[in-house]
Amino acid sequence: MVRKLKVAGLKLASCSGCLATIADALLPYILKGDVELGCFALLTDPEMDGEYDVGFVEGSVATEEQEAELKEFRKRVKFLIAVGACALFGGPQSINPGIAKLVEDVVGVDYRIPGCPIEEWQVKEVINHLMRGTRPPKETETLCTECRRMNVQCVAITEGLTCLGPAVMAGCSALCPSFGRGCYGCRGPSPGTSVKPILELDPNALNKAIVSQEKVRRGWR
Amino acid sequence: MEVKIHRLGRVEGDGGIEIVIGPAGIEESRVYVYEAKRYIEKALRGRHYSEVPDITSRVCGLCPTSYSVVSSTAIEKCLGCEPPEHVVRLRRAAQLCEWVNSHAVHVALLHAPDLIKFGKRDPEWARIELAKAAYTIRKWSKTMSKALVGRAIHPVNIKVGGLWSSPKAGLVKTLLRSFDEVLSTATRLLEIVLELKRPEWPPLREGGSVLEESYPLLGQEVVLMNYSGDALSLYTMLEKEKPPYSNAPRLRHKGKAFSLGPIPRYMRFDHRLRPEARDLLKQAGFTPRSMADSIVIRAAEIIHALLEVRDTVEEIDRYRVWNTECPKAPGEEKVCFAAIEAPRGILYHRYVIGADGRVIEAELLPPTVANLAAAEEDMNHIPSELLRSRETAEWASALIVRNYDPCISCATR
Ligand code: SF4
Ligand code: SF4
Repeated sequence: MVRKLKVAGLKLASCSGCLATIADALLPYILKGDVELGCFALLTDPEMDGEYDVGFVEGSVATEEQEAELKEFRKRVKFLIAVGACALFGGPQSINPGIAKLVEDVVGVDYRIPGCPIEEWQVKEVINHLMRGTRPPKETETLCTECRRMNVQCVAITEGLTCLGPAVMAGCSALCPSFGRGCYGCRGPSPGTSVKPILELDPNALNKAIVSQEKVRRGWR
Repeated sequence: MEVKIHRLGRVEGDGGIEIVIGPAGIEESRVYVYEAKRYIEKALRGRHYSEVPDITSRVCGLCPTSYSVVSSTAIEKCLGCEPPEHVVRLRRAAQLCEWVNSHAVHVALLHAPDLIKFGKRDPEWARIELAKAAYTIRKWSKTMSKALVGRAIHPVNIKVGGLWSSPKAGLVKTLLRSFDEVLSTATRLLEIVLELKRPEWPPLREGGSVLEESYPLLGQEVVLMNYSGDALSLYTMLEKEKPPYSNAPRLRHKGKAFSLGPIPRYMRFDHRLRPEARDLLKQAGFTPRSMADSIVIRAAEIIHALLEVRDTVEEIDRYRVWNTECPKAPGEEKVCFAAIEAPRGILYHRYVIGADGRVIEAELLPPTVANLAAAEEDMNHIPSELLRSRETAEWASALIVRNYDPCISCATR
C-alpha cells in the first residue's frame, strides 16, 4: 500500500542548501503525483496553511519569531525531520557563540538527517519508507567505514593528512578523501564515535582530531 | 491602499513586500527581510585563510561555488600564487555549472509561474513541461559539478591555491555522452520562455558586472554605470545603508539604485555570448525591454554556460597536475579582493589577511544587496491599472522582486 504524502519545508537560520536538495529529491515524486507540496520555503507559498504528513526543518533557531514558527510547524506536522548540520549541530552560525539554538532545543523531532548539505538519497529513502508506512532506519556508520566500503584510499595513512573520518557520520560517499583531502567534519559527529583508530595511526593527528571532534559536537566544526 | 505580502514565496530566503498606494500611485515600497543574521563575516575572523572557501560557501546553498571560487581567487591574487591556467579554467567551469543549476530552477519553477499567469499559456501543461526541463538540465549540471568539484552544494574540491585533486574523468566522459540531449532541452526551455508573454515594465535598469575579456565571470575589474576599474575602489565608494525594516543592507551608487545580474551582463556584453545562444535570440527577434526579460537572458545564459563547460571538460585529459598550493603564511599583512558573477550578479569579497595567514577582516557583498534597492524603486513603474485591485498589485510587486531572483540568505549572511 502506497500513500500520497503532503510534505512541507521550513527554513530557519540557514543557507537553503538542504531545502534545495530536498526539492531536487522530491521533484520526481511530485511529477508522479506521490507527493504534494504544502508550504515549502523556496518552491511555494511559505505561509503555513494546513496539516502535513511530513515536515522538513532546515536551519538553527536564531530569533524569537523562528522559535514560535518552529513550534507552530511542529503542531501541524505528523513526522518532523530535522535536516542538516544547522538544525542538528548549529551550523556555521554556531562558530560565533550564542547566536543559534538547535532545533531539538525547541521541539522534539521524529527523525534526523545529517549532512551539509544532506544528500538526495537520504531524502528519497525516508520518503519511500513513509509512503509504505514503515520507519526509516537510523544511520550510525562512520566515514571510515564508508571509505572502506567505497574502496577510497585512507588519506590519513597514505598522505598523513588530518581526517575526522573516525568521528564523523557517513553518508557523503567519502567525498573529501575521494578528492585527496581529509574530512573536516561537515556532517557532524557519529553517535557511536571512537577516536581509537586514529590514535593507533598517528598520535599527533589524534590530538587534532579530538579537538576538532569537540568542536564538531558543539557545532559545525 | 496598503498591499502586503507577508512572506514571499518562490524566492530564496525569508522576506516580504509592502507597497502603499495613494491617489497618485505608489507612495512607499519596501522589501522586508526577516531572514536571521548568521554573522558569517565575523565567524571568519581569526581563522586561517585555507578554511575560508569551506566556510563562505555555507552562506548560500544556491550559489556556494561562487563563494568558494571568489574567496580562493581573492586570496590567491594577493598572495601572488595563482594556480595554473587549466586549474583556473576548471574552477570557472564549475562556476558555470552553478549558473546552470541556479538559472534552471529560477527560470522554470520560480519566475515562469508569474508570467504564465500573465499570459495565456495553459498553466498546468506549461508548468509540467517547464519542471521536466529544469529537472533534466539541473540533474546534468549538478552531476557535472560533482565530477569537477565534489558536489554542487558546498563543493569540497576548491581551495586557496587551486584544487585538491583532479576532476573525476570517468564521470565527465559519461556526462559528455548526454550533452546533446541536455543542450536540446535547454534550447527548448529558451523557446518556451520566449513564447511567454512578458510585461514591458519595469524599464531596464542600469547596472554593472565583472569586466574581463570574455562574457563576464571572474576577476578584479568591474564596470558599473560610468565607472570602470578595480572592484576594491568601487566597493569602497558605494553607499551601504541598512533600512530599519530589513535585516539586509542596501547598496547604492551616488544615491542611485542599480541592478546586477543577467540584465546588465547582457546589456553590455551580449556580443560575447556563445553564438549558438545569440543566434537563437536573434531568430526570435529578442531585444530586452524590461526587467522581466531577465528570464530570457537566464535561459540563454544556460546554453552559453553549458557550451563553455563542455569545451573545458573535453580537454581535462591533457593535464596531469591539479593539486597546487599557496604559501601558508604571507609574511606581511595583505588586502585581498575579487569579484565573481554569481548567478544573480557581482559577488564581491574583500579580506585582510595577517602575516600569519589568519583572517583579520572579511567583507562579503552579494548582488542581492544592490538588487533589493533596485526592486524597491522598480515598484514605481507598476502600471496604474494594476494598482486598482489587491490581487493584481500583489502579483505585479512580487514579479518585480522575482525579476532579480533575490537571494535573501546571501543578503543577510
Ligand atoms: S546544514 Fe549546511 S547545507 Fe544545510 S542549511 Fe545548514 S549550511 Fe546549508
Ligand atoms: S568527507 Fe567529511 S567534510 Fe567532506 S563531505 Fe564528507 S563529511 Fe563533509
